[in-house]
Amino acid sequence: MRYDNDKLADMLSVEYILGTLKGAARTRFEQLLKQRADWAQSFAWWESHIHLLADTVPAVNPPKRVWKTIETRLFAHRAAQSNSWWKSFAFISTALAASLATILVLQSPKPADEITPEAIALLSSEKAQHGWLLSETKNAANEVEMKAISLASLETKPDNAFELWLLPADKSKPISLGLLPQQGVANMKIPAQLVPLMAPGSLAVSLEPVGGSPTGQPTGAVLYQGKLAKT
Amino acid sequence: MSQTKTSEELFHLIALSGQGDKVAFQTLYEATSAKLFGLSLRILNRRDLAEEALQDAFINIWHHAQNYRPEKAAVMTWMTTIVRNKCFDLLRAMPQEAQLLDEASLDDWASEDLGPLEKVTEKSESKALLNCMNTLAPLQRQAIVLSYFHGMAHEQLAKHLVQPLGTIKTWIRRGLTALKSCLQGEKA
Repeated sequence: MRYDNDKLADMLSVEYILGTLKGAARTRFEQLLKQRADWAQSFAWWESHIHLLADTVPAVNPPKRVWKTIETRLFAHRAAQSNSWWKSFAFISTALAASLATILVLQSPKPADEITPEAIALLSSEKAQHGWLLSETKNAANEVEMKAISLASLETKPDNAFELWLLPADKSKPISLGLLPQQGVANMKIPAQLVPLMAPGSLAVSLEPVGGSPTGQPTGAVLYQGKLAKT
Repeated sequence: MSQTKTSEELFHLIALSGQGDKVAFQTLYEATSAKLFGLSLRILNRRDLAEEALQDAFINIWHHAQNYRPEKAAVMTWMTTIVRNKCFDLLRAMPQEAQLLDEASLDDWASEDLGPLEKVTEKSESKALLNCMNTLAPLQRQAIVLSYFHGMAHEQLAKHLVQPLGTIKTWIRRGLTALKSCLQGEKA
């Protein structure tokens, strides 16, 4: 029996390291490792040996820009242009959004069936021109939607698209939320996993080719910024 | 730029990085990035993505350097795990048809002569691993390599190597058993 058990520990260790052991089986294996010293030993042995496969790959010097990017992302992100630029406007936009929220709440004697927005944001340019008013609402199914209303002061760009990005508070990469309307109103669904990131994060709008960024990251100038404020 | 650092030196560098030493972190990068970039390229087979994976991995390494535990894994093993995981994150985000296999490197493993692979390895442990991999059947070797570099599960291996699932499982089990006893014998 013990012989089989050893083999099982070997197989599971290797599958765990390779990543092919998934879900509940993976969690169970992790628990077993904590309880069984012999299994932990077998796991450590395989881990130190399987990864030697990586040593059989020829070394390739990465281009210099890789280190430069790492350095910037880790040590200079406070000075990165778009971020510091954003910071100076965050306060103004939040203040504006908050005052707008007050106006909206005061002016609307809300009908019983109308949904009150959870949060709103005003997206403004560096010259304090307003582009969109965003309102975040929850529907009956508890899904979060963002309504974007383009404002008259928006400078339209018929040959481009405006893409809305969430800049997570932890300074990780911008996440696309979709394209903003150049006129009228558009609704965007906010994926559930992004909802908790919305309020602490910031919002930015970049100018992109028609159809949106081809790379999944902002490629054009950041023209409007804003931040959600609770209503 | 000195490429080969002993594991004690690497441990020293990671410990300093964990305390916020940027110079130590850069030295760690210089000492390890070529090998790790080679690994990213092998897995992703696309330069832009390999660069992205390497960047993300080193950001992660900086943030988690203080959690590194030498009793659990060697520095290079720990870093390799992080890089490999980042690569697979990117690979999984790609549509299946965009994922390219580096067929030439697979052929290297299927060949009877693992000499070309041995040329690039630096450590004696890696050479021992290659010697023992050489005792396995070519398809057994390929199955292990496809799992390691391409994250293929048994079902995918069965499809790729055109073999019944049961055969694949038996092969891998026997292959690993043989590999372990060979490696433990080599060490003794």
